[in-house]
Amino acid sequence: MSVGVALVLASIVITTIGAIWVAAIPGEAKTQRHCIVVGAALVSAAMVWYLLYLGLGSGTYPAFRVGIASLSLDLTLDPLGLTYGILASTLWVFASIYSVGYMEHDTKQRQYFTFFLVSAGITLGIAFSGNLFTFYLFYELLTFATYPLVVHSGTKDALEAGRKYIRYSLVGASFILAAIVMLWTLTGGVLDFSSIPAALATASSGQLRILFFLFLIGFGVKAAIMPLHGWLLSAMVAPTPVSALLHAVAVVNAGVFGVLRTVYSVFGVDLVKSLSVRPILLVLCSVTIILGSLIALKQDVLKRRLAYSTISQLAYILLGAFILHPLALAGAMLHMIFHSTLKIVLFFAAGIVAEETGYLKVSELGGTGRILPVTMGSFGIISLGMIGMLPLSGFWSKYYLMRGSLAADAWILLVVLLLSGLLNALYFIPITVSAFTGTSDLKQRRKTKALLFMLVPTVIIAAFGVIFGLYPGLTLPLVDAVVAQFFSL
Amino acid sequence: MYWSTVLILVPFLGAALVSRFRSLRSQALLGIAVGAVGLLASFMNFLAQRSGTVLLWKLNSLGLFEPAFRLDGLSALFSLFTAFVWLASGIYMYTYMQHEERSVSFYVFYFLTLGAVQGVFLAGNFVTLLVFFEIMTVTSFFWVIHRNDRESLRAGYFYLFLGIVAGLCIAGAIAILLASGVTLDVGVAATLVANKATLGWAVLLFVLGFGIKAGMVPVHIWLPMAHPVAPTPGSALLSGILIKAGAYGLLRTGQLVQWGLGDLVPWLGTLIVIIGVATMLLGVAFALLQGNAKRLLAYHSVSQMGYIILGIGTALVLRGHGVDGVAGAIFHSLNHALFKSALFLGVGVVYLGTGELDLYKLGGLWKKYPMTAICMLIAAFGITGTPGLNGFISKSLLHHSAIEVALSGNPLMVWAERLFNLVGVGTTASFVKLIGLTFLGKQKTELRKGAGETPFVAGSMALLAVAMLIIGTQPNLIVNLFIAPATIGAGVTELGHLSTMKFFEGSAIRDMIVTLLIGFAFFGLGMKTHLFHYKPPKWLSLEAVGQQFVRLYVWAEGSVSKMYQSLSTTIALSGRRQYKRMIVMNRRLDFEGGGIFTVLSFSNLNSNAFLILTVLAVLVLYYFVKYVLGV
Repeated sequence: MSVGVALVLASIVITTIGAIWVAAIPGEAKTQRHCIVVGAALVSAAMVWYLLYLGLGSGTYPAFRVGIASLSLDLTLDPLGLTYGILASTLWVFASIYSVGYMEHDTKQRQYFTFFLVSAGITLGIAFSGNLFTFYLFYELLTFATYPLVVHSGTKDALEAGRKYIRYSLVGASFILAAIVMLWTLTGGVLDFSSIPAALATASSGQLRILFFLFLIGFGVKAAIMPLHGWLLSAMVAPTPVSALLHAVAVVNAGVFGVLRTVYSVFGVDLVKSLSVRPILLVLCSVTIILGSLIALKQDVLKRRLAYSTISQLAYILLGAFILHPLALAGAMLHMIFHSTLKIVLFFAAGIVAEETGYLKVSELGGTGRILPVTMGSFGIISLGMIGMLPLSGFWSKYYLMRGSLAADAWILLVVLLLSGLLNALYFIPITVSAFTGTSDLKQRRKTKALLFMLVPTVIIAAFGVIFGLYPGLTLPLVDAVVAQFFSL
Repeated sequence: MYWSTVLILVPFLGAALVSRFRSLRSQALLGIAVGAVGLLASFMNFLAQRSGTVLLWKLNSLGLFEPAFRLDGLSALFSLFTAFVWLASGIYMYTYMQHEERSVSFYVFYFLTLGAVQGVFLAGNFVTLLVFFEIMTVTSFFWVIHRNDRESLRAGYFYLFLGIVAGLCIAGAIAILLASGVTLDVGVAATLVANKATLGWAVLLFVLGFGIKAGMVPVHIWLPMAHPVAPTPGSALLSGILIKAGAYGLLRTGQLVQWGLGDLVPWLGTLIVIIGVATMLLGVAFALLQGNAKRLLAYHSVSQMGYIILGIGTALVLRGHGVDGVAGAIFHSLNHALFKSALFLGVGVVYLGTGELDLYKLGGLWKKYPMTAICMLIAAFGITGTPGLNGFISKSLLHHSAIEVALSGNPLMVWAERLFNLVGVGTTASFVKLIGLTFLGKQKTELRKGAGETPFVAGSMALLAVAMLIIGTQPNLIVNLFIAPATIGAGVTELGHLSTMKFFEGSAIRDMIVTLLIGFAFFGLGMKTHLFHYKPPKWLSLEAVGQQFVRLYVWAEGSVSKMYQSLSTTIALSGRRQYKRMIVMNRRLDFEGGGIFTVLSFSNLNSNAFLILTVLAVLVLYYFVKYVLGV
């Protein structure tokens, strides 16, 4: 077993071990638990980074396989999976630090942190899976591992939201299962990402279209394509770090990642092009982008507004994927990275505001900037990035998406992207402005340690928004590798 | 290039440091010091490119984003007058900020905006330009909302949203430029265009984006709202300098299409001429109706930007022979920066003393504020184009250009030339009104104590006034020193008679004097007939149109969402009914059925699993029938 393979396994296993450890130690051992959680997330992330370093350096990626034929546990790394893995595992570290502060007064910390760590490992499993069987396995596991996090508060609302989450996810997964079965019959049992496109070449386009839409509907649930987005809004009852990590980064990106796998690994660019489904897909994404933003305008509850913004922004990534052009794919990958890093800051900030002031609605936020200047300042700056203003990272992904849509002769998408930028401005700017100009009777509170635990990760990730904005080239090796993986340039 | 770094970084450093300075005086001294360093740096920059060399500086190490800087005649001139006006307003703020709240916050954004504006003028490619452009929008937004009342917040929203739209337009234009195979370098004409049609779209987006910043009609609506509500130094810089970023962008856009030479975007010149004339006319018409001094000046900014836009438009129409238009636009940018900031600063002095901006409540202040009165008078002479002052020179150049395009006989261009003079009449009338109502007649308001003319206030305005006088009396020197290199920098190769041009010709002076006299007469007429109190109906304003759109959207959105909601409720209800029926059926199969159903029990499966199995079963059946049986 090479170093690479060992690291792949270890990065997943270590979080699971951490989770078991957290579950095993008594509930009163707070410090110990926090150390385990942050430590496990950190070590796992470090391993993934080292894997990236090895992979990009040598151009070869470790593969691990046990089991029989197609139904094997197959962990094969590739640039696309590594991008998602890096993103999730790195942000997990920050989210776990944030959780330490956020869950300070929670009574069910043990349960929370156990599932929090389990989900981290499962997410990496999704990222590293090398065939559809493994992918499906981890994809389903993610639903179940995150369910306890969604219903964490145990209120009636939370339970109802949890039911809705499970219902949506399982129906989605059933579509994927159906698609996998269909694929099995079409390819004669080939489920490896590396060999599916060739095996599918003989199938008729009618069958392929059905297969494609089965996959799309299945993954579309987690990717929150309208009208499959309902669960995302209800699931906002989860604690904020969960909302931030799962519903802006890991879970929704798992759906997006699934779509990317479908388009690029299962079907391949040429096959999707030949299906001539592109116009439908682009219209679907454009509608989601615009409608998501329009609905977000009306939301008064901050987290709901952010959720609709997420729905709209995820469609950017899918849009980039569906244009089927190298530039657009680069834009999609950049947007996956940049949207996650930006959106998590917005959620973190919303969580801090909710914890420190108890305010959940946009209309109540007036004056909060006075007592939480750093939080709302980060929120304001990062929301400019969501609009796509320089010098923030959000500009670059949009820029590549625009270039990609022009290169594919779809100038209307440029209009969609610009219009969405304006709508983003309309629903983000008033939040910050009212936070800093409005009046409120809030009193300056003592700065607690918990606030510090929440604030530090927020500010660090926000700083990355600016750093990526000024040095977008930092992401270039990874994005280039992904593009080179699927397009022969 | 060393000095460019200083120009951009020193203001940012100032912003970082200013909160350490507790006293107002030390903050103000820091402001003056940064302004002076800026002026020195931009002057050194100016000297560096004087020999005609274009200095480029590129940082290649940053991957996708390649910050690049460019120093040529055009950017050096814009950067120089920016630094000059900034220094003047910095000196002014020594006194002014003692009467303003939250000085630190204002100073922070005062510095940040300076760095950003200099960045816009020195940027070497459009992405770098956009970086600074966006920073400029955001930081100057804080000037607009500084007062933190309803009016300024409303103005601030308009300012920021339209600024963001401008940024998005420029971003879109950049993407299209790349797609049509044009480099993103600023100050380079587009040669080897792969796709002319897409280039047209890029240019249109540039015009819209920079036009928003320049106060171009019909996207000027933010300007008359935002400029008056900012604290006076902010207003002066917004009107004097920041809208020049838009003009600068338009000039660079003109350069991109080779000033019409290659016929890359044939309709562009005509479009810009029409926009320019509309901007001039609308600005001056609304300015005449204003009673608020700052708002009057803001509308004049719109009107004067119209001159600049018209100059750019005529140059484009003349297809490479429009040296007068380009030079006039550049010259007028410089002049407008000087007189408009002087006028705003003067109005600010009056405001400090009286707390009043309503012209009809002011009067007779020349005794109390002699320096202010003199400087404002000079500035007013400048803006109306009186011979001997700076405005006359640039307006002569622009008028030349307008006459040249009118020679083509195209009725549109003929009318552009005629309206040019009409705008001059309106400008004169409204400045007679401004100066007359403020300084002449009887004093109507009590003065506050301790708000007189300090040396700082008077000095800052005098600085601007002296510059105007020098330009007005030595036009050829200024043209050769500043305007000609800038025109070359803007991509005009054929300078023609520009360097030896005779400005004080009998006919030009006569025309201008006639215009002035008619303006005086018009002012008298307007005051007699109460024409200036006319309030245009609400529906005429663009805001009303916007409101109608919003109302339409709200209505459409409401009805659509109502429909959607009823639809989704129906679906949900029927779904629930089917779900219940299914469960009932299951039970029946379990408990009432006989035979095979007692063995095959569904009761242990939950509904989700049941659903999955159903889908699977259908699919398996389908494939079984299709492939196994081969039907």
